[in-house]
Amino acid sequence: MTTKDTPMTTQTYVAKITVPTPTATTLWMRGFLPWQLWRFVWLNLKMLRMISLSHPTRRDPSAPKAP
Amino acid sequence: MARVVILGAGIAGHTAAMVLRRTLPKEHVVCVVSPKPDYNWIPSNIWVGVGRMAREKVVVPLAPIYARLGIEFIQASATEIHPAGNPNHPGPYIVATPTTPGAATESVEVAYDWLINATGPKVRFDRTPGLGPDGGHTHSVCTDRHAVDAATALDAAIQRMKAGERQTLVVGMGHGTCTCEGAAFEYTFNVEHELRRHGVRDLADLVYLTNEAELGDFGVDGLVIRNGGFHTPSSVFAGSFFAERSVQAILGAHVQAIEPGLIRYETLDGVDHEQRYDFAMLLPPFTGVGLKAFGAQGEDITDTLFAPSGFTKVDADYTPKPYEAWKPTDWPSTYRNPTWKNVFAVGIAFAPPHPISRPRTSPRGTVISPAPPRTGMPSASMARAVAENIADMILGRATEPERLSSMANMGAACVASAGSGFWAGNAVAMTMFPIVPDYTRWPGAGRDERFTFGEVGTAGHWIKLVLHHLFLYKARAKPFWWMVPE
Repeated sequence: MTTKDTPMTTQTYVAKITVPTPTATTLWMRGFLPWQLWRFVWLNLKMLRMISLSHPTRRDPSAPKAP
Repeated sequence: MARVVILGAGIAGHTAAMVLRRTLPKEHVVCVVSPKPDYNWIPSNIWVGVGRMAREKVVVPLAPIYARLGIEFIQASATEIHPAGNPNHPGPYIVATPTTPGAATESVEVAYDWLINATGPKVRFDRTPGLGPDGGHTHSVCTDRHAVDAATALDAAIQRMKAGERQTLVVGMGHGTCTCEGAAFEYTFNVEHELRRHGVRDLADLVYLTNEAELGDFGVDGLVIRNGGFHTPSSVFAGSFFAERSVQAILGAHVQAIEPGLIRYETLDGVDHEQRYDFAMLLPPFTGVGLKAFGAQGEDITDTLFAPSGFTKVDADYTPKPYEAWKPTDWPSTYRNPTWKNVFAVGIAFAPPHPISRPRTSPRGTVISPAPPRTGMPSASMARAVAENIADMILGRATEPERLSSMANMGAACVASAGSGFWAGNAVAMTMFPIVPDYTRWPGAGRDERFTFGEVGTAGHWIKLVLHHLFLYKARAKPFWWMVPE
């Protein structure tokens, strides 16, 4: 894919459609409310776990002090 | 009595101030020096920038909150730091210029025992001729007011399309060294959604112009996302979304100059190009805000506090080294200046040791490589850690910063909305852990696959809405605000 002002010779750094695209079922599932409610709960739980892992760690008392 | 001064009241500075005030007894002073009277929840500027949210919904006046909490607030722009004081002013202090309209503009001196630099960046529209809304030809969503202007211009383009005129809309990065690609990604798909909502999508050529060498780099060297039973590179994940929404992408681009209706840019292969546009939202590169530091005798000691980029030096390993030699331990964990032990920097204000994305230059030597992102969730997380460390040292519970909060041990969530409406909205929700990849702990992908995932759907849009309301609730310091996690 190129912009209309960019000739094809520059396609080295221009995205091409070489990627999967969603099927009609996938698109429908993205808006299917019962499924999305479940995903909302699941994503929130995963994010909360990720946030808890991101909390500061305590300095190891045996580690050398910062200069 | 200790006096903690915080420069800036963005996500990092405001978090640090509130945590310190909640932690320290009242005899200690917490003082915020910020040039703006409002807190801006910047992630929602995207919705302001497409006209789907009023500016007032993303800003919170700071003075009433600080008055209620007992935080001193000086509306001023810091210009100098004197970490050793001087003969007339024995203790450390900063110099700031008041920015309250109509008030005196004489500089004020603000003494401190502990200083947190959370000024955020200076947006450098001047690095690209013609870039930016102030004297340039493009728009921005960096500030709430920029976003309002962008929404007005976007609406004008939509009206022209409704009149039958074909339009080219370009969204992305206005320089080869920009960061915050996630924001441009999100704005692109919000614009795309607006075009469809107004029934003019077929009259628009929507172009994403970026300094990323691949889609989905996001300044973090890309991700390997767990999605749909596959380990999927973010280039494929993001590329799929571009293909689905028919958004064209120009990758590895450094914008050289912008003229009315024309963007000139160089790509990583060293070739010059031109891109026509009718509406453009291009983000600027960032530097530090340009603070100067002076010693006790008035000598310039800026280089002890600041890197050449203007960002504050902290406990990072700044030894220049090639990409292959980068280590997670290069990244800071206490955000303390190595020379001045009572000075810290959080959020965008700290100097990163190096980028996260692989550095790239064109054959002509032009750097075209994203700078590392350190906004939003990571900046709040490190601000809390620094605030708690300072409180511990003031209260005698520690002699050194004991809480370590490195971006190499910290995750981030990026929820890029792509449409509004409670039931019909859509968003790309992505998380990564950690931000800085660690190929020793997680060979191959560099990140923990359990917490590096992404998916598209209405659920992501709800998460974005929840984050908007939750963080503004927290910013207003409403009851139990401190229970909202960073």
